[in-house]
Parts: sequence; structure tokens; C-alpha cells
Amino acid sequence: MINIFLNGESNTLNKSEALDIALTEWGYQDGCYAVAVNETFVPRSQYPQQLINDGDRIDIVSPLEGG
Amino acid sequence: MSWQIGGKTLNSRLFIGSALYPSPAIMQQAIRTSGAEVVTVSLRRQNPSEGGGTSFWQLIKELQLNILPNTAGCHSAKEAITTAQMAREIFDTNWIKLEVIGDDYNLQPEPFQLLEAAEKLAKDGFEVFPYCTDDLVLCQRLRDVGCNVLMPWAAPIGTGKGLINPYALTTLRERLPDMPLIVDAGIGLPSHACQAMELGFDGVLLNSAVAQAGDPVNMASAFASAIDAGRHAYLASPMPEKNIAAPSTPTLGTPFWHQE
Repeated sequence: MINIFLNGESNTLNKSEALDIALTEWGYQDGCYAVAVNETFVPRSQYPQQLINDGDRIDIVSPLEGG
Repeated sequence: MSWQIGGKTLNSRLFIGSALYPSPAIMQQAIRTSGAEVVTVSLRRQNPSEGGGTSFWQLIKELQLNILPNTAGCHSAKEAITTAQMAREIFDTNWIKLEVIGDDYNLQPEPFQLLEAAEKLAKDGFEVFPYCTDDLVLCQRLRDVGCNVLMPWAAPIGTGKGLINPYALTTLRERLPDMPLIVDAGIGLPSHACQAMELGFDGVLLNSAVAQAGDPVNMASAFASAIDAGRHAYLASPMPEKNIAAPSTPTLGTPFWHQE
């Protein structure tokens, strides 16, 4: 079990796993979103290679209103 | 009359935001009525159960406008750069409205972090639209690191105070004659936007002034007219201001006058 932060909130994963697998577990489909891990952007093409480790901070953002 | 900005040709000189409208339908109607061809959007954390921003994004896409994503809420160059990179992937544009806030009381840009982020993003191929103060030297440095457009504030975001330092904005126009300048933030009334355009600014970016009006759609129309009027006035070269009155009606032949 590893502890991570998903969008600022504590969360867990059974083990370290690739970002694309974790996103599916969290319910993110092929939607309109982008991801940063520990405040570093992860291109969509890199999801399978991006391993989520204990203590990682994952931010997943989508379009919203803005000025 | 069309103009060029960030590699694109536009007809409107109004950039408009997508936040704070009473409803999504009014947002769409107000933006359409404004005639704006550029709309600003943001990126925010969302959970899949909330729809992941899909419905909002669908509304914006229906408008078929140029998207200018912002980095609102960022307080460091690092945060802003990461947000810009995420925006480029989602919106498929190299345009970024670069905001790095230095003070949460007046939402004043953090000039040092802004400059650092602007330089890195410009080198990475972004077309950086920096939200900045009206400080001449900062604006010159932003130009030097690769910004092809500058967006100085008229007043702090959301205050609606209008041009609180016309001298500084006039100085920017005079000292940076070839740099596209867009007044961003602080506009409250169409007359404020008109004033900025009369000073020779190339465009105006606003949000609250339309979205928080009692009738956003009607206000959008008013801003479109004001910006158009201000641009025409600038091109028409206003008359010089004078301290002494000068009658416009001919004095020769004035009735009832007689030699003393």
C-alpha cells in the first residue's frame, strides 16, 4: 500500500503502478484532462511509463471558466 | 479592420473571459454578442464524478473562438509553467495568458516569477500573453525575453476602477510603439475600455465588467461599441487639449457688437 495525494486529498494505491492504470482506477476515461505529478507536467504519451510512487502528489485538471 | 496577434488574424479587439456569468446560457449569449474572437479559460482540479469540465468545455467549443488559457492562481514560475504545459496539451494551442500572482490582496502580478516563467515558456514555443503591471521596465524586460504582446493591468482584477494610472499606460504606449498592448483587468465601464483604446492600446481583455453587469448581454454590446469607438478615435488623431477656451463659432459678424 502506498500513500499519495490526488488533487490535494490523501489517497492510496495497492502498490506503485503506472499512471495510465491508476487513472483508470480513479475513474478517468479518455476525457479532457491533463496531469502533473509533483508539480511536473506529464504528457499523455508518457502515462504508461510514469510510475506512481509513495508520497507522490498528482494533479488532474480540466477546462473551467476563467478570466 | 483586421489585425494580427500571436500569429492569428482577428477583427475584434475585445478579448473576453468566461467566468462569473449568471448562467452558462447567458455566458454564451454575452460572448457571442461581444463579437470577441478570443475567450479566456482556466484549468482546475476536477473529479470524474463531476464531469471533468466536459460540459463547460462543450459550451466554449460551440462558440468556435480562439482559446486563451490562463494560469490564474499560480504563485510561482514553476506552477505557471506546469499549468501552461497542461493547457497546451488540453487546448492544443501555444497561447498562454501568463498570470503569476504576488499578492493575494490586490492580485498584483509577481514580476520576478512572471519574468522567469515568460522566458522559459517563450523558449519552449509558447506565445506568452503576460498579465503584468504597468511598470515600464518590467514590460521592457518581458519584451526582451520573448513576449510578443503585453497585457498591463488598468487596475486590480475585478475592481472595475478603470485606468488608475493613465500616465503609466500612456508611457508604455509611447515607449513601446511597436509592441501589441492589451489592457487586462480592472475595467468596469465601456468608457474605461474606450479610454484605453483612445490611448492607442491594441485591445482590451475583460470579464467581470460584462459578466457581473445586471444585463451581461447588453453590456457586451456596449463594450463592443466602446472599443470600436476608441479605436476609431485613436486612428483619427484627437485634437490637442488646451487650457484656454477657443470659440468654435466664428466671432466675425457676431450680432449686437459695436465699436466702443
